[in-house]
Amino acid sequence: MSRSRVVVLEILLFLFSAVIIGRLFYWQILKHSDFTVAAQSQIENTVQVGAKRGKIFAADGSILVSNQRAFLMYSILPEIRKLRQKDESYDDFVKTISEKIAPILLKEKIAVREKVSQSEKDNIWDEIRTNISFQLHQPKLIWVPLAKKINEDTKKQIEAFHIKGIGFEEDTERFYPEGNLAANLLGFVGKDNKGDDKGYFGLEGYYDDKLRGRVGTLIQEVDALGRPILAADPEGLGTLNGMDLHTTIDRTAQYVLDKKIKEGVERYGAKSGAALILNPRTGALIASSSFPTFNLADPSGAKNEYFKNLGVGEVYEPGSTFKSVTFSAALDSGSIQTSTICPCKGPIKAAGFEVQTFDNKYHPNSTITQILQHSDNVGAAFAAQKMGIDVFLKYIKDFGFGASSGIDLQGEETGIIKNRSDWNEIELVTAAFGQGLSVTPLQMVTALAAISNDGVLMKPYVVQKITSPKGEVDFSPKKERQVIKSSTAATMRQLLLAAVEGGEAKRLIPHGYRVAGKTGTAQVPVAGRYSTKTVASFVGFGPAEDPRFTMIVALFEPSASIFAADTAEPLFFKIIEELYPYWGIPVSK
Amino acid sequence: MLKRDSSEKHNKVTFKKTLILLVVATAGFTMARVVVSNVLAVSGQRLAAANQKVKLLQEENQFIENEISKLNSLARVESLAKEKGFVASKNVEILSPSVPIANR
Repeated sequence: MSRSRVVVLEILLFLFSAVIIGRLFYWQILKHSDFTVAAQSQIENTVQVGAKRGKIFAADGSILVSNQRAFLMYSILPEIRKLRQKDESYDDFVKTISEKIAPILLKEKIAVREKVSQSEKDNIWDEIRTNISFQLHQPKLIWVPLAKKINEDTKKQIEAFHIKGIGFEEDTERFYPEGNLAANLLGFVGKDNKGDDKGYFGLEGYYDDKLRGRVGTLIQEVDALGRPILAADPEGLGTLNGMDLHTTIDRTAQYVLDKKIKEGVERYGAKSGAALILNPRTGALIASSSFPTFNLADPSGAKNEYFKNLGVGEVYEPGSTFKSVTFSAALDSGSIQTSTICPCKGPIKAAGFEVQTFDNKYHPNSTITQILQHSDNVGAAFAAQKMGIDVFLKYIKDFGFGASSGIDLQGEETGIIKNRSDWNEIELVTAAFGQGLSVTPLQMVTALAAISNDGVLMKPYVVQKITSPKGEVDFSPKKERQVIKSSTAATMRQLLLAAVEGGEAKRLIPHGYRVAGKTGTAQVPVAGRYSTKTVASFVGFGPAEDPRFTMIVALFEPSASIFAADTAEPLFFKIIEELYPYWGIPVSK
Repeated sequence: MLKRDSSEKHNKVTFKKTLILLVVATAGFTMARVVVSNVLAVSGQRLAAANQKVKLLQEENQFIENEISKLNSLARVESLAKEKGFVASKNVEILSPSVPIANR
């Protein structure tokens, strides 16, 4: 071979090698990261492992809220479109699919509701069909959701149609073994704007970050068939299930309260009603009921106002129940004594206004006991005038009014107590009988709990323990402050017992129940003026000598009678008639 | 000369032994790798099956727990009691002087 041919061959070999090396450099060095990613996607399987939302337990360990298996039904549009017949329009095709699936979805939707009218059924039916039609008509999407949180039975019935292009993804939904028990206290789980589960109202809302946990990812090496290879521990961020909440709620007391408040609202023709029971020694919330309420399994059908826990979220003028605060303050500050006599001859004049009694009857030379028994506004104003604004306002704030109690429930309101600079004589006298300021039922019952707890105000709370696989956290009762002296509290307990036993509704009190408390019939302000509508409430504790519970019952705008003595007070006693035997509290003979 | 021959022979023998050892070791490790890979592949399948079983058992436990809670619900207990003819007692005598509520 001539020398020139050898050289050409060498050059060609060199060029060929250079090309090979160049390509190798390109693929192995420059494109290294791309191929690493591609290789990883082939040999690694990344799975998102959903976190289970934490459960909520009653004080006796029974489950109030748990989780159950549910499914998301979706459609792969290119697949489902293949099922369309050639001479069938797409609208008709979608209608056919919808008519197969929609009845099954409708059946599940109405099964969770107690009563469903025909018009509600029609509305739900339209909603389901419209949604399916809308999703199946999406022009640019491949995957569309058709229904969320459907149960296993519904899934199996739809699977029986063998509609190619419809699939199911596993999910969970909340399960309520006690039905709608304590609905407003518990709250519900909806979706946030990312489509993730989120708690709203009550405990679900307040403790959402603890209940939801953390979704984990699992990265495993897999073989060609997708089976995991046990070469090393799988990597990834571990799933953290939500924490469980252990509450102070007494399931039986809650059940009785829910039933009785509903009956009371209906019997007395009220717009709504609320009740709270506290343990005065610890501040633990034993039960909390609100009516009207909503269906926990299907909150979408309820009006927005039904989600509010009226016990913590409704603000109202407390009326004569506030006299328990007025006289506690007046006695504790030394402004009056138990032997003090009120002239109470007629209306009191203050800042150009006249303060009258609710029935325009006057009781000259009344004792403190008589003032409370007659629920005498003039007597209360007299006590407030003896204190003065600064002393009275200090006690009002010390009792917790005008501020958040810090209870662990979403939706708490603080009520309105005017600033010192806005107080004058008329505010002083009207506040004495609970008008011109606004409070929540929780604030009122917490204040009375302080009176029944030797003057010590305890912070109200619902969750006593939070548990997780990592451990548990216990919450101890918290003493806020000594509001009044224990001697003053003892005196007030006797006065409030006398107020019940000698009050207007004494004939309605079941025999032997030694309960101390106070009625309150407060006019409701409408457009700056007081209307004929009222909030009728009764706040009390028992047994009077050694209180084990404090309870408030409030009926908003009752129509059967506007007075608490005819509505809230008898309802209070109906509730404790059922609870006393359960709690083992003896009734005096 | 004789000494040089024997050392060369010794080197050749040593070289042969080393080569054989290397070949045997390579073959041995290769076989071991095949065996281990086979075991891992099968284990992966068993792991997947075990994980699936754990998941199913957990779901079953949750279902049973939920069913128990539902059966114990107060509404159901009240309903069953009414069906069986139980009525609320009006006269309840509390014998124990101590009161069980306010557990703390």
